[in-house]
Amino acid sequence: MHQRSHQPSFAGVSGFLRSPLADYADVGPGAVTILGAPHDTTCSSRQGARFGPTGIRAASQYLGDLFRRGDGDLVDLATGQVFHRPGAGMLLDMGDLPVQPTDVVRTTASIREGVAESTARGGFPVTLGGDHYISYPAFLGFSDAFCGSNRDQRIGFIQMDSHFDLGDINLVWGRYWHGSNARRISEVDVVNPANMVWIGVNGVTRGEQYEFAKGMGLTFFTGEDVRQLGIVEVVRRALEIAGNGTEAIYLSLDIDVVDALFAPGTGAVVWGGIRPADLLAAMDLIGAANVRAMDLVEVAPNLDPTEATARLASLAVIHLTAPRLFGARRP
Amino acid sequence: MAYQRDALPGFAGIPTFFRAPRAEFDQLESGVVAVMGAPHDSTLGSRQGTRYGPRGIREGSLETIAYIEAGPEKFVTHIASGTRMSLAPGAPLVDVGDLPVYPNDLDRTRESLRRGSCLAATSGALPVMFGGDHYVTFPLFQGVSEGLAARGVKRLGYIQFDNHLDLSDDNRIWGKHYHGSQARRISELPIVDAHNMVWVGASGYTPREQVDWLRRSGGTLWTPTDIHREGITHVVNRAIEIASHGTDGVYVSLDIDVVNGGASPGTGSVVTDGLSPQELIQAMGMLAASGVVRALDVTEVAPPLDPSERTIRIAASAVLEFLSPKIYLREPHVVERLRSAKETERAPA
Repeated sequence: MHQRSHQPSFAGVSGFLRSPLADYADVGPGAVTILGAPHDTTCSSRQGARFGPTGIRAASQYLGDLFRRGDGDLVDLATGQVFHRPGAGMLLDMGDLPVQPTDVVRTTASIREGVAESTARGGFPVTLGGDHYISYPAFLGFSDAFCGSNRDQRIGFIQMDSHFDLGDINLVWGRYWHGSNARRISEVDVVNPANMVWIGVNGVTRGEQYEFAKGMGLTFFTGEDVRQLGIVEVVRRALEIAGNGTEAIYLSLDIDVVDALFAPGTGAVVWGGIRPADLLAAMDLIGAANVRAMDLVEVAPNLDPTEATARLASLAVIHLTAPRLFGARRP
Repeated sequence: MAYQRDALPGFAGIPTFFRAPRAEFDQLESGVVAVMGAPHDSTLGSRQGTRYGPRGIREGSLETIAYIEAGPEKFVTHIASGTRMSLAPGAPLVDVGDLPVYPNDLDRTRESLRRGSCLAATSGALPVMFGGDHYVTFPLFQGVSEGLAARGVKRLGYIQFDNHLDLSDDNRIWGKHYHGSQARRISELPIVDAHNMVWVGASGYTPREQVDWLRRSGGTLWTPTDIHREGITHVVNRAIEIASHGTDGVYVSLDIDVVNGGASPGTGSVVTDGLSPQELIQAMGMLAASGVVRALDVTEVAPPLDPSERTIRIAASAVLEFLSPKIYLREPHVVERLRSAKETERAPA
């Protein structure tokens, strides 16, 4: 009889980090649920984020066997963190959510429903974009299920990104696109703009967005701030602000927060972002805090034949979810 | 001393198509060729990048014009025929730039493309339009047909050079409007009779519903296998006959994926059977000579997918061949004349 066994990273059919493809009925409290949102028709820069979920899943396979089928614990040499093998049902890949590329309203509803369903069953939703617009429906879905009818609760928001995405209305793209997602989130009733923090913004932005950020009391740490203060201090402050009076923190990670030297596989070409090591350190720190959902967006694997971008993205998910998934803790 | 502009090499300058002057819609008039772009690709089911098509096709046209402009005598000679080609006087070719698109608002985009192509057709100019994914053909056709109707056109034929039928009615993901449905939407317009609709080059797997529709409604299809057997000359002659029968003109839609993917990889679909570039160029020449074509579009050119850049050059060459009677002055080359004169001298009395 044919016996299934370990496979090398380039072989096999499986979900993120070799997790099984799952149904919502399989989701139990504490499970990390991977949800693909391969939508990029609201992307104004170079295309390919629709291949993000597939690319990030594929890039995670090289660590899949190590994390899921290894013989014992793993140790992160940089931090001394110990990783235990996750229990059954703790990491589930829900596959991709339905998208209708020419119908942003239906796509919004679909992503919102998928994330809400996963959250309602106690899952920790990790939504893989897609362009950054999907952050808005993913946030809506999370807040629908997390807050329910209790709209007095507050959700803090951290966006790691080279950009604000605080556009209100754009002549070409209208109100819904990958430059307005954070603005739309700021309008959600359970969000207090005083709990919104950006890490890594750089370059130029429209005056209107800058004034909105300043006027509404949003906090932002630029790429330069990260270099001056260090990522640990920046994330410490960010968590304090986003966690102040909130019941949960939502993390939105745009891979273009990383300097294009290291992560070219994304629409925007940015030369003032953070380093990969800073990104992973931030994931460790945020993952250990009261973060309850994340999205990871703008990974366009087709733009990076070296595959470094997708690998870094998959590592970011592993680092952020490590405390839940692997019981990872500093010794 | 005043700065002196000069001819530029193909890689330099701000590209309009074939270095044509920029023009506005209100400058268009009968006899002019109006090039315009429709850089829309959010109705695309396959690999992305055709939003860069208009820019790419413009770039693909520059080497030829540079070759003509930079020469001391401003002409080139077609080696096979010995025909001397120089730019026709009066510069009938203009580039009106790209039409506005709103990538996540299909209704606005459709309206914009429709209005632009309608304005051009109404003026009497010949619209030559670059996509964009193949969906753009629907609004462009709509606009052209409305503009031509204002000029007395009652019936319009349609020839689609394409590896696909694009006859989808409704799709669970894309709905009724995307790059697999535009030919079906065109067939529903009152100015078109399906008996005047022709497909050249479609192959591969197609939903049965589309094939049934084609048979039922009387459209005509030549697969690449048919073309290899019957020859491109015969097929294009018949296509022109069928599309122009009882009509006041023909709209030609060229999806670059009608060409074998080995020759033109810069497009969303990966095509393993199709026309050779030479066959496409020949077809374009025949369409030009027929005099029945009232508008041309070229779609699905995705420059980012072809780092060799040959797809944009094949597309530009096809357009230039189609425009050749209008933009070139052709005369037998002087060497050819000398030779025939010598042959006359030598001829026995």
